Amino acid sequence: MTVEIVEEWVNKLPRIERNQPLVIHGDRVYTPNEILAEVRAGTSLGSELQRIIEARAFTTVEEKYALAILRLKERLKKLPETYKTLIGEKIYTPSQLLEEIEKGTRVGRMLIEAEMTNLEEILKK
Amino acid sequence: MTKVLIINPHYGDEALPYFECAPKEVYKYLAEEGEDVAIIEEEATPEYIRDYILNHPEIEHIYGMGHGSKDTYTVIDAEPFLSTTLNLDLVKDRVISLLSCLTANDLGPAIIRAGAIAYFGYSEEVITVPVTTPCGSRFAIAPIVGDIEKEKSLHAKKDYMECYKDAILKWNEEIEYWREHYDEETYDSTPVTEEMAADVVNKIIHNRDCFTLMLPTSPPAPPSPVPEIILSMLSITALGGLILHQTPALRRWF
Repeated sequence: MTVEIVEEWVNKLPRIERNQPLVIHGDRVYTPNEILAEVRAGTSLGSELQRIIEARAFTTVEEKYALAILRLKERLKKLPETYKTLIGEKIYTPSQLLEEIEKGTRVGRMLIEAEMTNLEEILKK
Repeated sequence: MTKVLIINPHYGDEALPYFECAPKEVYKYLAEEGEDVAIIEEEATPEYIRDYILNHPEIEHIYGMGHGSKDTYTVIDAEPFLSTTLNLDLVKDRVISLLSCLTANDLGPAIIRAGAIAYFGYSEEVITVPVTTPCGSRFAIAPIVGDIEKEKSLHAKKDYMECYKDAILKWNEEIEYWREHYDEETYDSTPVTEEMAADVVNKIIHNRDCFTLMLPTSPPAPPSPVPEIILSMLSITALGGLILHQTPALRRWF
C-alpha cells in the first residue's frame, strides 16, 4: 500500500470535493484531504481509510443517504442568509431549506435526491 | 412568418424574472441566426397567445416559460394557457417545450396525445438562483443552461433525442466547470464560495434529472444511434403511448 494511491484518488476528485465530507468510516465522516493527511501521517486510521479507498468500498446506499443529508446541512449552515434559492414559485433562504430537509418535505427530498446523485457521480471518479 | 414562438410572461411576477434569461437568450440567438422567431412578453395573456397562434399556422415550435403544475402551463398573471383540457388544439404537429415546473407529469402526455411532434419539459419544480442581476452572470444562468442548449439544437434541426442529449451534456459540462473553476466566478459581485458552487451543482443536477422528452410512439424522424448516455435513460412505452426519456434518478419517481 502506498500513499500515492490515495494522492492519485484525491487528485482525480473535483477540486470542490476535496474539503467536503465524502467517506464514512466508523461513526465519522472524512473529507478527502483529511484522509490524505491521515495516510501521510501513517496512522492506523490512515491505513483503515486507505483500505477503503483502494477497495473503492465507499458507502452503502443507506450511508449515501445519510452523507447527502450531512453535506447539505453543513453547506446550508455555511451559506449566508442573503443567498437565496428559487424553487418553482417560492424563494427560500438557507435556513428555510435546512428546515425543509429536517422535516422531510418534498422540497427537502428533492435536494437530498440531487445530492445522492452528485455523490454517486463523484465516487465513480 | 413565424416558425418559432417564444412566450416570456415574466411581467409582475416575483419568480419568473429569474428564469427569463432563457427565453431572452434563445430569442436573441435565433434572431441572430436568421430564424423566423417571435417573442410575446407583456401581451402574454391566454387570449392573445391563442389568437397569435391561430393567425400563424406556420408556427412549428412553441417555447414557453412560465409557472406550471402537473396539468397546467400558465402565462401572464399565472393564467392557464395550456392544460389537459385547454387549448390542446394548438399543439398538433408542433414541438412544444416548456420551461415550467412539473408539466411532464400530466400535461406533457396530454400534449403528445393531442398530436404534438415532441414535448420537452420538467417532471419536478425547476430550481434556480435568484440574484440581483438575473441574467448577468454564469452563476445565475447555470441551472438552466441545458434548457437553452436544447433550443439551439432544435434550431440546428437535430432529431429530438439528440436535442435532449445535448441538453444533458451541456448541464454535465456546467457541473464539471463549477466543480473545478468556482473561484473564477462571482455571485452578486462577490466571489463564489465552495459552498455556493456545491449548491449550484446540486441545482443543476436536479434540473437535469427532471428534464423530460416525450415523443409519440412513432416519432417522425428516426433517432440516431443510441449513445452511451441515452442507454442509461428510461424508456417507457406503456404510458399512454409515449416514449419517455429521463435520467436514472427519475426512475424512483415513477
